[in-house]
Amino acid sequence: MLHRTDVDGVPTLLAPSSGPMTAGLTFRVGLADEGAARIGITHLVEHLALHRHGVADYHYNGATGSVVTHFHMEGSERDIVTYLEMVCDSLADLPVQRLETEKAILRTEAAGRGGGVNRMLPMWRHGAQHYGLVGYPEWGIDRLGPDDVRAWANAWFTRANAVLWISGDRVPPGLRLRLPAGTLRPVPVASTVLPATPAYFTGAGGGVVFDGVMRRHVAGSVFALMLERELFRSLRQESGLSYAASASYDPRGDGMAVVTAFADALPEKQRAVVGGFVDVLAGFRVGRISQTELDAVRAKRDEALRHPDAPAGRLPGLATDLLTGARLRTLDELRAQLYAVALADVHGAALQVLDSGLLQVPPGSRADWAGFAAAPTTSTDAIPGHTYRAVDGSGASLVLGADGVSIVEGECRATVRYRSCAVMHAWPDGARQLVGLDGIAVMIEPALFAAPADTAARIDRSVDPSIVLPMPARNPNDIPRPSTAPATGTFPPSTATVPAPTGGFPPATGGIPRTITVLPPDGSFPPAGR
Amino acid sequence: MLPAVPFHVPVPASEPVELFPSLRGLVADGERGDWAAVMAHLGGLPGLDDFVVACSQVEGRIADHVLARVPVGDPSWGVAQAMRAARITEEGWKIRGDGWARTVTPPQWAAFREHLNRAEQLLIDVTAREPRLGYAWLERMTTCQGLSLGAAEARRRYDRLSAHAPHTYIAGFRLMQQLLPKWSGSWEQVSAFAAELLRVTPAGSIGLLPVLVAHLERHSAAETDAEAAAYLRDPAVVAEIHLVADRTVRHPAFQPGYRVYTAHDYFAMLFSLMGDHAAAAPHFRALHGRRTPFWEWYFGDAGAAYAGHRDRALARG
Repeated sequence: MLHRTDVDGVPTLLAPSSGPMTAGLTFRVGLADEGAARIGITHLVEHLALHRHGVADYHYNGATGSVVTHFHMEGSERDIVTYLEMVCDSLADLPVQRLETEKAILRTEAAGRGGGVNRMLPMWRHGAQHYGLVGYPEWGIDRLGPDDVRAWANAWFTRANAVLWISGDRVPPGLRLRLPAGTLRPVPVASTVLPATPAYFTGAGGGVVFDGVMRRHVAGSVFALMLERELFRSLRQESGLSYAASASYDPRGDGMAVVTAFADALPEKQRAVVGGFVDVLAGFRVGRISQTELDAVRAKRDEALRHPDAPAGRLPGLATDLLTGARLRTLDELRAQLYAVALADVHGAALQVLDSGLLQVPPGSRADWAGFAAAPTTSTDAIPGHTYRAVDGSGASLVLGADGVSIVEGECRATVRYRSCAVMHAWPDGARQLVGLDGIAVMIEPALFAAPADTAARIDRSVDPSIVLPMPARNPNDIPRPSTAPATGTFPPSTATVPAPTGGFPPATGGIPRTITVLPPDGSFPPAGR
Repeated sequence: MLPAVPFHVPVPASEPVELFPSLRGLVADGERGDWAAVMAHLGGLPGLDDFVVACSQVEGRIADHVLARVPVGDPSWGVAQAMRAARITEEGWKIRGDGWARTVTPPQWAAFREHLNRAEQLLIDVTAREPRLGYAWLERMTTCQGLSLGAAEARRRYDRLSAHAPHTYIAGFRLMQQLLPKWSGSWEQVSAFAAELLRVTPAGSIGLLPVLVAHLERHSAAETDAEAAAYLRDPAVVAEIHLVADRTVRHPAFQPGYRVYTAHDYFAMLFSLMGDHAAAAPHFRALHGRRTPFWEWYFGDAGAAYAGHRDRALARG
């Protein structure tokens, strides 16, 4: 069924298909490899590589993921040869004269995209690093020059770091893949910024989103299907609280897989959806899962695996497996594993996912009552250093230390250490926003503090220049000044992501941070002037 | 014959265990730690309303280790855990006090919330394993209110309870409380729920009584005494209260169980407040000189208020 060969040193997977030939070239590079200051560079390279092929249409495209980037094409053998050779030739010699145009296209694309419902979970779990980067805007592209994108392409889009896959009986005659030599790149090692799980944070409205991590196992895909069915049954059919409910199982590339679930909610039903969602998860936690349900989803999954197009449809995933060091499984093996899954396996998968879970609840909600720990929205401590008071007398202060910066207001602290700074936005007026690898951000508006005139320069000297993103000048009216700042507005207008105290409750002891921007609820990072 | 009660001597509230001899045995079993006997008693009760009243009499009297050692998988595990949760919730409210939110100190809030979170997490487990256990869903309606989880979530819990125990008085009562403006609901929501109960509750069911809460609350929320009195003289309100009486206490199929005193308390109180002492009289007679703590919700000196209204009603009726 599955054949392996190679083309010009690129490992190649072939699988039969009843439909038209599809072929793709998958590279082991994605957002997780970029670093916060270069977010968007892989996507930019992908666009540049496709530029020579003309306007993108239904039959060919590229896609940048977390750990892989695909170029794929459906058509005749001849079309496929033309497409793949064009992609490789462009990658080896990027049409950098198109750089500014493609950047503009990416900005337009980003403005129209909005992001998926699960966009915020990775940044809350991982911070502004590796797997967390998928949630951030492509803010790295503005600064990128021809040398940057060429170097990126040469380092990552190489023969050894690619897999060719073809649905069809043979490699199209004459196909050459002229890629530079290189090495197969390991996937990033994941780390979490969540001190305790299951955890929750308050995100945008519209529904409830959840994810959790488990060791990759076919029981996880069964669990995801069962979770989806139960969310749909409970929240839509039984309670009428949601219209859409879904769940998915996605291998991450590092031997782990992420189960993600979502249920939408009408504005007036949001808090009931939180309750209903929590109860569905609790049902799986206590093992209230039936053999009938397991059999039903297994039959559905088996049907998909038996579909004539299944061997071809698996190719991009198999290419990813090959690039990430996972063992390739045949369809027969997969089906045998599927039928070996017992209720206890599903329960085991559910427990792993729920124990590591992260829940996004709508504004005005929290989930501590259900046993979810609040995900950190501030730093645990302030940096030692010189303290400068806010000039408006609000009591907030800016701390400039040898090792980093902090903003302190009451019990709330936001700290970024220079050595763990992921990116810094720098405005010509002296404002600086530092984002730590943990996702905590510190916005410094020097005008608001009795700080030395050279504050921005001192910070700049301490930050690695390769992670500084120069920002365009702000409209003077948009620059916060003490006289125009609102009473509590020592900092830029808050995009507070902290759990709002619910009705009847005062802020938790120690105060709830109100004005320190930590993570953007809507991806509106950075908060000012692009 | 009525027992001779001196004029206006305040009447103390009676707990269910004082009103129903059968509950004395249950309480004794509970205090002895005889869980099997407690469950045997509870298992013989006809509906969730009686079940909840009975549980309320033993929740605080059974030692925690008796409840905690009931193993998962035992048919009574869910009830035991829900009783533990009820007790934790009760302890939480004792810490908070029953004053307005602004009178509660931050440490009181923190301890209150910690207790309710703990109770809620026990109950999440119970309803996950035993989704048909109405008692646990009712306790989750209580934690829902204390944790300020909102009306939509309260309604979801009410619906889950009602799926297996429809027309339960105490569930309707809790939801009605949640929908009141003082619990961040609105009079529109209160009226809509009252109308729903009138529409769906079968005649003879105790589940219709929460409609009366709507009227009592509107009355007590009035700005002035004149406004309060005018509300209860509104012909539509009067007609609705009589309609509820016709479908409950005056209905041949009415089976109030342990809620019989509650039912007559409602009408004795409402008809008295309406000034219709003749209509109140049969209810005071049915109460046999006893009352539930319910009067304390609406009267500062509940015992004296009860005695005064009763004496006026019985003098005329």
